[in-house]
Amino acid sequence: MEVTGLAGRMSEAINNIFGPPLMRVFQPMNAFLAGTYMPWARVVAVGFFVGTMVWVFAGLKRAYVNLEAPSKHIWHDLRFWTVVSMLPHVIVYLYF
Amino acid sequence: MKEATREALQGLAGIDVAIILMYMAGVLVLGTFFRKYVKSAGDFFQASRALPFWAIGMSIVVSDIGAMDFVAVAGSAYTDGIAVANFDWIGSMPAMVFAAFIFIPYYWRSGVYTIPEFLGRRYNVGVQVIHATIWGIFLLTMLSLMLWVTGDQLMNTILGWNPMVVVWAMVFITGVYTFSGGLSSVVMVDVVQLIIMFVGGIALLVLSMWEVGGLADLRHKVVEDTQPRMVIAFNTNRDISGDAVQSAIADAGFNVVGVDPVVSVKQEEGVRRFFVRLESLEIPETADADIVAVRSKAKDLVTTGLASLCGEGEEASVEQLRTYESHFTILLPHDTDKPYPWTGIVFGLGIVLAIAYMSGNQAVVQRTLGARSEWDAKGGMLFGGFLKSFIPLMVAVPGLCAVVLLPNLAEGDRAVPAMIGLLLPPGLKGLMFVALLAALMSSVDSTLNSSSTIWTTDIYGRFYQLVTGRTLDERRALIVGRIFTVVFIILAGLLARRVGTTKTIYVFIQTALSMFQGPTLAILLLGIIWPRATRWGGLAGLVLGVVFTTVLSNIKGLFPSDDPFLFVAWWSFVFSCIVTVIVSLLTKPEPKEKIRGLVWGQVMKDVEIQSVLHERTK
Repeated sequence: MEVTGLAGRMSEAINNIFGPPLMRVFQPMNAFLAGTYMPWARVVAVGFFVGTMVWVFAGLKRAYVNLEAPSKHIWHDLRFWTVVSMLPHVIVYLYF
Repeated sequence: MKEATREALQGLAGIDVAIILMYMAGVLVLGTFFRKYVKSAGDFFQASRALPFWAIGMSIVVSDIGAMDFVAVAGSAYTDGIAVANFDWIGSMPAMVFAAFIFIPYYWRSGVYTIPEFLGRRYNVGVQVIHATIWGIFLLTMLSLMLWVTGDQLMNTILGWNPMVVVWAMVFITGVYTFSGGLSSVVMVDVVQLIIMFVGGIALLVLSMWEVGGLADLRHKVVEDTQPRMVIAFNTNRDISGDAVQSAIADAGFNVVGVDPVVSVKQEEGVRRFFVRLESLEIPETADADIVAVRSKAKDLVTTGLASLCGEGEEASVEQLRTYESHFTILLPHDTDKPYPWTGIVFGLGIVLAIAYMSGNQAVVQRTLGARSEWDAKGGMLFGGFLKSFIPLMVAVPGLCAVVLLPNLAEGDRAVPAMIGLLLPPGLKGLMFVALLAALMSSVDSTLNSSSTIWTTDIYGRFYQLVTGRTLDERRALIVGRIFTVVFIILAGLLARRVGTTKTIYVFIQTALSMFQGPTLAILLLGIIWPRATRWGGLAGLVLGVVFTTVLSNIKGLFPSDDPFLFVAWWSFVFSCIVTVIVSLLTKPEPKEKIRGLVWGQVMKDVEIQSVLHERTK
């Protein structure tokens, strides 16, 4: 969409002033990322889910996670809830 | 095809209309029932801190998923593929886990009504007011947009009803029950609405999948059988024949399978559009394997070829070029010409936008602040994340099925309404409409309640304190909160048409959000995990971060996507973190007493400390 008027002039000014220096920073990054081997993207995405599960299970104290829980049963353990909620996502990202 | 689709889009049976009217009346009665429990601002804004985890989780999901998601996410799946589901998968669950275990305990234990209030305690009043004003305006804009989507894209498209009449009906119903019962009404109505939404969504999913023959068949039909398509537009009132278009494009070197007039509910005057089905996107005399370059060359070739059909002052353009080979790929390359490259999805969405949204959006967090215990607050967030995982199945998958069943829709946003018209029988069609209305109304009521909370607590409350030197008492806060509720819903109704017709729905929201999501997350996160973060650091991080976002958004070609909101969010977050750290290190550390109970490792359930903090904030 073409922006006109004051907003358009501001946009043009920003483009002229900040465009060239920022391009020098971002273009090499874009070139590098465009050449990334795509399976790495899947590894990163799945790693994000798995890493989060590991953080909740191993990085946080059980007492902190389950403070004020109605009971100590596993179905009231929020660490268990985290795993049950996140595992299907891992499967989805491996399938698609 | 055109006639079939038009027929599919028309009218509901008497039973469908009866179901819709019964639903509206039921919601009104249920919502106003909770009026008797509202005696103070705490009852109105935090449901007396009595909400169980299941109600919180259901309310979060239904507040987050509006009718616009049904329409726009399905539309995006129709044009760009399954990658749009990232918003409800990698863009939700991890963020909700982080919100549950990092942010929510801090908000909950400090006993605040709003996130800006928390920021005010941690940093200063400036941060609180700026953050509150930004969110206040954003939420109001969202309200208008939601109302317009229902009025225009749902009810007008399918029933032919006047969109503004629908908008004002929505304004009346949601306004009345949100005004009456506050957060309690909103959450309990949300619970009912989520159940309806799931029933309707699953019905649409099952029937769509049945029609295309299951997931494996869907994948095969979309990825391998669906031919590339172009939408060609001529700015003319003249009749241009499909045969002429076909031969012009064939002359440019393409194998054209067929040309169809575009099926669109709203035909613009002075524009003629055609769908051109191609054998493939192979371009004569080029061995270029880069799909982005091929697409660009294809557009140039076609536009040049069509020039011979244009008269004086007329021109032809390739408005869309649809390919389907990556419709079942969830992570797209960094330089994809579709709007969701994997780098933006993982870093911009997964790490910044999603966490900022789930932890910094008042409409989401307010439910957890009304929890009956900290466990319920955290559990509600996790339960919400679990339920939200099903949304793409009910929304994006029917959008993909529409590629097979209704391949010639010009606008992706018409996919869901058209599928409803095509697949659902009377009765179920009405139920699906109720589901869409439920999605809309639950988002409107939540946004309305959150807007009034922010404006009452963080803007009016601060102004009142500045003028009178006294804090807002519970009774006055309740009255003011209700007045804001009425004013905002009426204002949203008045602005609905203007806001709704400004830009493509989903991109508009995400772009607006990304303007300040990155900076907000940066100061929230540093405020919680880093005791050395100072008030000036937070203020500088927020203000300069928003400025940096504006700069990034205005430089063309800096990022691969046309709408680079995912990249902008990530880099503005990084920039704000750096600014906050540098300015904090250059300024005087906050007194230990001030940040007790508000930073990592010092959080405690200590009424005495919280009351000291509250007094100091005054």
